[in-house]
Amino acid sequence: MSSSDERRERRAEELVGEHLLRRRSAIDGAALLARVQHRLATEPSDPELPRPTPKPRRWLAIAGSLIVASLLLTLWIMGTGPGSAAAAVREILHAHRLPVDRVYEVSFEPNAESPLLLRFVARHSARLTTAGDRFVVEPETDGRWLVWGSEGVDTGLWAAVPGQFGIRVSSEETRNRVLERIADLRTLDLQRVLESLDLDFELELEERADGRQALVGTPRPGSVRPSSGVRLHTRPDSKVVEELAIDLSRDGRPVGTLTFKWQEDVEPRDARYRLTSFLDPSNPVIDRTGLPLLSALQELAERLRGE
Amino acid sequence: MNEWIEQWVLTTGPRAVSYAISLIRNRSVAEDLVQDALCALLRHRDRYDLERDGTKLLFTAVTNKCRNWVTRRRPVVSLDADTGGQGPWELEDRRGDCDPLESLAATELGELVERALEALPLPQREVFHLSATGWEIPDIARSVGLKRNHVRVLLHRARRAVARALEPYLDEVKE
Repeated sequence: MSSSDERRERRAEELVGEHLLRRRSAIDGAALLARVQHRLATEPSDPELPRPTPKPRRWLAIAGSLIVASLLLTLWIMGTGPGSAAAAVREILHAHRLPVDRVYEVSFEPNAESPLLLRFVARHSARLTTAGDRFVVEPETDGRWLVWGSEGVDTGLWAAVPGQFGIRVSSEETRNRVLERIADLRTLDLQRVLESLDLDFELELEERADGRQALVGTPRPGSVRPSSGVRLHTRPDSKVVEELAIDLSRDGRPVGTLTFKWQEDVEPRDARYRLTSFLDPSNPVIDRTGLPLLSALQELAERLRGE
Repeated sequence: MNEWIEQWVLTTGPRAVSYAISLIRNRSVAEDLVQDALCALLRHRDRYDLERDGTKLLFTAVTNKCRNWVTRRRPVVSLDADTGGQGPWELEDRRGDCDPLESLAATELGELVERALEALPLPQREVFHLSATGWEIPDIARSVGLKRNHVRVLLHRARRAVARALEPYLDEVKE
């Protein structure tokens, strides 16, 4: 794009911005505040409670519900196709991206084929807190020895030994082959896992009698994902992931199952996803976003020696 | 309701209403949706840090409410193929009940701006409105629930389309 185009686009955006400013000024904030105050004072305190409906409308609502229920029952009896599985994934992703901080217990169940390193890592479960593309993973050990997370998809990953040091890795670097598994699975980036579901797996949607949905996936031919299968359960009302189990494989052989189990929703707090929250101001932070790995490690060693 | 919250509603409420108008092209419905979002947020204010997160939470809620409203109103035509991968968003017909502050739109430029916004697919309108009112990409991404790169792409398309639509007013910039 030429600089002339850029200038024109910038000017166009400025013109729109000026128009929107005038539009905003013409909206009566005081009237809006008064209406909000009135509603808060007069309406039931819990907006999720259904409001009383006049009788004639209630009959209409019941008739409508019966029609919808019949349609759903028909669809259920007819079975669900791949389209509905894709729609379910979209709903799940939408629910996951809402600004709600959710906590999952993450555990890894190794099998006899698991490499020793993986068995060592899997000795403890971890606590994953996630809100959209931000997450933090805290291993549930007596003394926390490594915490890692992301402040957002474009900011890459960070890891920290709490109170000791931290390291940042760029999002570009996490795309390379060596770190891909770490970025996708061992960092337990639930959003990336969910986004990859439809690409990497043939999904089947199963409706349970209790209203819960289960998605069962087998790898698509040619998928490079190190997984031989996935099972996902959602809450019927909100489509929030309740449990996600991924059968991991290496060179085509199963090595164990990684499981996310929803524990609770917690108060939103940006700070919990920040590397600096786990460090003292004097702790060194190595920014790997602009350094080769070896140089970064050398710098880290020098800083630690200097401490 | 304490003084800080009142002040916050007075300043943020109109911004949210203007945003909702951009999205759904219907002022009275926009005001209702923003009222709903504000009431829900304020009823549960003990759960949130409104001073820090209130504006982002409000705009996220308004975005979702507007999307739901547009989806329910889907039978209307005018499907734009360039939806930025967000599905078949459709624009409401402005004839009839639409009143996006008529006096403002009455000027030639105002009308052109409104038409340019209306012609954008909904996801582009969301990110363009926020960008044009001073939001940074990370905050836009969080409020509309998209990745930053996706926001950049939508913003690029929207800027190009709006610049085309406002061509007569950009002549002096060309020189």
